[in-house]
Amino acid sequence: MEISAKHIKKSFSDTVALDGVSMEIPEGKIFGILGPNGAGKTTFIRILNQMILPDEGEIFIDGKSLCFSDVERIGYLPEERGLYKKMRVAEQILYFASLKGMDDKAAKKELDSWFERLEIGGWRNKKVEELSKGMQQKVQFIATVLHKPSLLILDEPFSGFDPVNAQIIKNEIVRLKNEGTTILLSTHNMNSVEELCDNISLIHKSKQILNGKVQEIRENYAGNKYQVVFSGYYDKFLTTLTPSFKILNQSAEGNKTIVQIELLQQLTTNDVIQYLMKSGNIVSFSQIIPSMNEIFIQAVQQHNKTLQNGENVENI
Amino acid sequence: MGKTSKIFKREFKSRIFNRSFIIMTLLGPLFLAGVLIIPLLVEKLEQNREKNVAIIDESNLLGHTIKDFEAYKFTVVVNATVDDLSKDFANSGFDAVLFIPKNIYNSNSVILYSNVWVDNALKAYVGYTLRRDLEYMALIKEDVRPETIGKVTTPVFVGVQKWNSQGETVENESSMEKKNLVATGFTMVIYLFIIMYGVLVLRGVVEEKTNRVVEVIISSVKPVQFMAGKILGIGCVGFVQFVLWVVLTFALVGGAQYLLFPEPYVPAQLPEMAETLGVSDSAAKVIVPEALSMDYAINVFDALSGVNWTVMLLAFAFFFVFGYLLYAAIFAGIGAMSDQDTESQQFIVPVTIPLLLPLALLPLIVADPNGTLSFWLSVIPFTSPIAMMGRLPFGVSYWQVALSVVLLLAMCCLVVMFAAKLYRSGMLMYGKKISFKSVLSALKNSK
Repeated sequence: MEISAKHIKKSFSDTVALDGVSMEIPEGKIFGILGPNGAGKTTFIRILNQMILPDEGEIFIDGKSLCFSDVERIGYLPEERGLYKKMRVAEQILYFASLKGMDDKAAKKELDSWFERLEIGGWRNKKVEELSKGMQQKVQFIATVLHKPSLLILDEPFSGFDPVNAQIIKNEIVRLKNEGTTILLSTHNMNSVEELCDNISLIHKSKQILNGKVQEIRENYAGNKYQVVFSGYYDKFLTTLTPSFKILNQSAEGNKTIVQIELLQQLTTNDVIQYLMKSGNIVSFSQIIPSMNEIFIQAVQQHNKTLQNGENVENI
Repeated sequence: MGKTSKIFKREFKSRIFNRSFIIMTLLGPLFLAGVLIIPLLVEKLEQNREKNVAIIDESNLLGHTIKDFEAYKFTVVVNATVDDLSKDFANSGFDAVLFIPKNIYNSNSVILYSNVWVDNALKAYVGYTLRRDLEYMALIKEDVRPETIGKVTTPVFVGVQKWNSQGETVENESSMEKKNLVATGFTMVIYLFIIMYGVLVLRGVVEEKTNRVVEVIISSVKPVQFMAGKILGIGCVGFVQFVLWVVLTFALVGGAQYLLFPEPYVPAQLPEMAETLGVSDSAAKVIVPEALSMDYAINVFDALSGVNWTVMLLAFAFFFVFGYLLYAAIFAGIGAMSDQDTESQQFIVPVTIPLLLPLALLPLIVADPNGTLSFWLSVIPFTSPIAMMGRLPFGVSYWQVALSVVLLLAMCCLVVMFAAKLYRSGMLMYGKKISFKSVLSALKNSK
């Protein structure tokens, strides 16, 4: 399922939740929707689920305008999990699947295979209130994916899981992606974004401030920073110092020295290596690619700054 | 419609098979039947037991004129005072002591002592007998001949008959009493049903909101479908419970009546008392009205005649269903707007005041079923389900019923639409207190 959101605007009585956000979510990929708390992610997800309607803008699914029957092809795992405490596990999952229009027989068959795969068949007739929080999360996950949605919207899918179970869920998400499911992942866990997402969109204060393929974004943010590891002496290295690069950080590990540098002039990496060869034996030389976490913080801070400047300009 | 029915099915199933539902369904009829049968049973046991009344007669005359009456046996005790009898009353074999003082001719009063509450019938009987004797003696003193006395002391019985517009007699007094009973019964049922199941809707909605199931469901189902399925599901549970209660209660009462009173019940007091008192049957009814109080409970089945049952049942079905819908929708709206059980609870009372009002005013409605108050209460949608059921047994003109029905239907549509809007936006709103402002903004956001 390919989703294209165009200039979505939505405001609630006194606050603007989304201000002209556009997104292209390609089919069969994991798309990360990121942003600080209160940025408008949940509003976007709810609009996609047709729980609320946008004030402006439109959403197209495979080129067609979004209509209510599309909810049956969407699976939604909300951040605040919700299950009927008194209902039995299997009964509950089947009920949610039936609300998504799934045939009862097919649902039962599918449920069996999920129970087997996640090894939780023993819970089938337990009441939800008897399960631990992590167990409930698993039940909720199955309830979200049972009807084989073409679009899976996961809001913080790993919260509440221990590392082992988080890995199990991660594997299932990747498996679903490989089967062709389009996945929209909203999370604050930047490691899992790096690990899973093909594309991301970063929303901050109702505006989209970053959008694109994860690899490209990281390379764009990389700049001219490199890390060199060599066996030799830092003093010797210092003598080779030219104004064309700056030392950001240095440390020693045994007889190895690790130095992080930033290139100040248009130098090719080959030039740099030539300089460095004089000071010792180079073990490794690599570009420093910022983590999604750093990019997230940097982008948000930058946006805050421009917003402030904007306000100042307006005030003058 | 398909999804509404799935919501409906879940609501219905999860509640019908709930343990507390089953217990309530069984306990309800037991309680109701108990309320109806136990007084009969007590009376029957009491009737068969002789009750001895000691008379301490300081007048030395009047005590001997009191004849035995029903289960009461009167014995004049000589050479004893009230104090003597009170000392070892429990073992004396007497159930009550009647003290006739020396000065009764002036004071006109006697005292009944007992360690249990004195029966109204006994009180009325003793009062009547002594009054008759005192009057008789006073008149003799004035040289009135005994035959004349018989003529002047005849009490008058006032019968009440109701005419229809053609001047034909349609009912008499006792059928009016039955209609009161029918009116009370139907209004109580509607009131209880709406409160019980309306509150269940409220709690169900708040529960789904607090445990956040709502977000999962609204991502699959339209909020209106969700609300409709819920209200109808709970309504049907209520209907099933109601039918079970009626059937089980009648079965229990019928069974008990068959076992305890195999012969059709004839209120015993009246003819016997009339005979004892030497007055006509109808006169006894005026003299000892208190003694009749038992009569109501006894004639449960008898009361079911003399009312236009086709109109009554059709109207009942209508007001039952739409009265419930109206209030359930209001409760659903409140539930959608609040995210805590305690917060929503405080709205139950104000919302149900329009329901309670006609119930509290029922005596007035029944006393004047076609008066201004009765008319307005029975056409205003929020009070009409109760007030109209209170009026109907006495006959209401068709245009008024039609007006009441149309207004209730219109109000129902309006309230359901309103509630659906609150449902759409309110269900996703958290951490806001219900206020005029929050409701307004919910309505605005529900496009």
